[in-house]
Amino acid sequence: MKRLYPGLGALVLLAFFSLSLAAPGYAQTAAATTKPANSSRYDISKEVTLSATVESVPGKSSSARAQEDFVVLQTKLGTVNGKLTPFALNGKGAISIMQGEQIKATGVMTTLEHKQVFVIRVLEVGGRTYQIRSKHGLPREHPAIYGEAATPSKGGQL
Amino acid sequence: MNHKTFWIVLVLLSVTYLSGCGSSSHVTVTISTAPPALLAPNGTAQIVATVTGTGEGVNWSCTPVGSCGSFAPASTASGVATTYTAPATIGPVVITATSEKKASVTASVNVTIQANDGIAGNFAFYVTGLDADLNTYSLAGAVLVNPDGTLSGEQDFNDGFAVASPAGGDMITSGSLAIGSSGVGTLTLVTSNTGVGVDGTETFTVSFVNNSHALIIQSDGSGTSSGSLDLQTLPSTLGSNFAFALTGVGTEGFIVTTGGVFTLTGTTINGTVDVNDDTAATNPSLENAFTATLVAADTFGRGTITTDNAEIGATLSYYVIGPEAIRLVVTAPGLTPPATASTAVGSAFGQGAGTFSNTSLLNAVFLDQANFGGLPFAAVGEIVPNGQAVGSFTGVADVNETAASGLDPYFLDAATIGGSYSVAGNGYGGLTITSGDLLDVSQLGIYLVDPAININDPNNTSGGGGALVVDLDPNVPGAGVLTSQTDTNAADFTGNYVLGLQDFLTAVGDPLPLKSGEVDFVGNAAATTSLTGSGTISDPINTLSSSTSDTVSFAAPITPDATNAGRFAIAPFTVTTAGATPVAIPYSANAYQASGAQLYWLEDGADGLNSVFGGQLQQQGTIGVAPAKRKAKP
Repeated sequence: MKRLYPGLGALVLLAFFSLSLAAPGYAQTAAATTKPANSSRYDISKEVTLSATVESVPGKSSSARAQEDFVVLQTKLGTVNGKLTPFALNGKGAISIMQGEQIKATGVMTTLEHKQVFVIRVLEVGGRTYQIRSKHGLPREHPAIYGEAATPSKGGQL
Repeated sequence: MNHKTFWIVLVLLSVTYLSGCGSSSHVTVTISTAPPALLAPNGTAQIVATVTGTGEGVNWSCTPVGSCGSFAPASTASGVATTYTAPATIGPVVITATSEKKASVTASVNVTIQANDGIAGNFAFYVTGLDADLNTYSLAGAVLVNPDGTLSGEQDFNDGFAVASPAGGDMITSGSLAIGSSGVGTLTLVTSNTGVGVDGTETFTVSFVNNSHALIIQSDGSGTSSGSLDLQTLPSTLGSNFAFALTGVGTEGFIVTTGGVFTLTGTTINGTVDVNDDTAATNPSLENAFTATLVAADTFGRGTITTDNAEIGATLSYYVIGPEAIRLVVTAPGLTPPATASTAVGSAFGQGAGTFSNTSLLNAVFLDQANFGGLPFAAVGEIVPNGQAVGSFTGVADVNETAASGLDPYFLDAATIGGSYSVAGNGYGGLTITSGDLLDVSQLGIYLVDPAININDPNNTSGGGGALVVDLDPNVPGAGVLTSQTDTNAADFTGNYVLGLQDFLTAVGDPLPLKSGEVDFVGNAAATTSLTGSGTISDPINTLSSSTSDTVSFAAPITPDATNAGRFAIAPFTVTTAGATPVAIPYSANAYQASGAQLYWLEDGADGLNSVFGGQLQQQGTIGVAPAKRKAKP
């Protein structure tokens, strides 16, 4: 399989272990390589909020159609692969995210295909807050439509 | 005339008559190779006449003269074919071969000039899928297909975000159905709504299973979706008791699935609905009472329903297939971005006498699948219920939640499942698969239908029974069907089949998929020890290749499961696109057999494709009508 962002693995691992130390609450989930068969796909109790700079966003086609749904985030603790949804950056209800932009992302670190990724549920960018996933991690279509003015975050930040 | 003269004249007349008979009996003409009973306008057919009693042949003619077509050559020797070319206009034609030796000796055959092998009439259709702007959309409608293949009709489209039909629906002002002898073809709908399809024109690839039912996909590049096209009985008086299920996306942009039962009394509907909506305070929300009001159907079989339950949808249109089968689509008239609305499509099927119990759930095969608005997954399996007051079942099933789910494992093949179930007297029921047996798939709402109704082909008098299914698990909202399993004999999975699948691709892979998105497929195949055939893949966002619609072919081995009767591996199921730069899609699949006529299948997660499809294989019956009947006149 073609790997996303080759070369970032070490940074992602560094970020993961750093986050694990800072947030032991989700470390157990993130460290698990095999989940129980009936585990929740998205465990909202393990959520943390990251402040980050957008290092890169996936390329967009001229027709604004579906592309890869990962965004690379630079945090104080290292680089994180942020998993968006197919709808977050594509389609008529897409969210505008630019390289170099400051964002806050609330989500859960987990393992997907042997990679550590940060599954994002809520994204704060450009002064607006977008919920892109439900509490069980289901994706939201045309999420920009539901954006709200950002409010100061309360606790749980890294 | 005296008696003597009379008898002389009578004897002379008799001799003359018998002499004539004797002469004619030496010359006979028969049409030994008849044309089809139906021919398309401008279609051609080889016709052969066999002459006895003379060395001379026949002259070919037809009526109505001047508009019945032509023959080349116009005269043939005995046993030699002429090529008949049908006229451009539809209608009945009589073709006659006349003896060159004796003009009174003829043979004739009736042919009807009609498009599409005679498939015509009122049809209802519905599809659900993903448009090229990544909106889940719902579409249902009805068309009157004329004998020449032209059509008109009505439809309701709703993507919950950018495009929705007005309150009266979209008019289908023109269009065509064009199919070949294999039942495969194209349905083109020219609508009054420029927001749908390509500037208002929608194109579907259709594959007829029989004269009254086809699997269809939208394949015009504007979106991709799967559904069904079914002959309508109009007008129909709807029955009293129905089971229903809908799949779509709610006003908050998240997948919502609903299902339940209702009673129709006059124009009033009273029912019970289960809801899987992750934005609700309680999810799933079960056994919610609702009421609705139904407005009678128009000449296309389209009517409207207003409900008091926002999860079902405030307003719906319905399209009648028959007294016990309707398609449902949630409508959003007046939708103007950035406002949003819920969108969903589904079906309601009659329940006959409407009396059920745990004994009503028989051995069955089920299919459960998300839409692209949810987390992609599919589950297919077979169950053996105990039929007792305390219902339990055993079974075997496959599930694929894709690697993107983060589950490890993310798919199970031939997993042993068990659990409990219950069915109330009104057909409302639930089936709980023991947690962990089938990954996230555990809590299914089941809504039983009339045992005489074939859910997948409502005009089919066989293959009936089962239930509509809604997956009520918060992780994997979905919908599907459950069909009584009557035949697990592997030898009966043979013959010609129409195949359909809806594939959700979750992440970029190597070499495929190129993007995340949805593709839909419909095609035909012959099943022997392999599944060999061809079809069309709709791929509007170029998930698999650079083309929005590809013709594909495949030849996949079929391997019956030695342990689980009725289960088959269809692998490798490599689908290869046509064209100068073929793309091979290395699927694997597993199928479960309800009978030789109906199977459900899903993509085996073992193929590592980061995708999952679910769908059906339906055995193909007769397409068109029998050859023309021949009439000889000595």
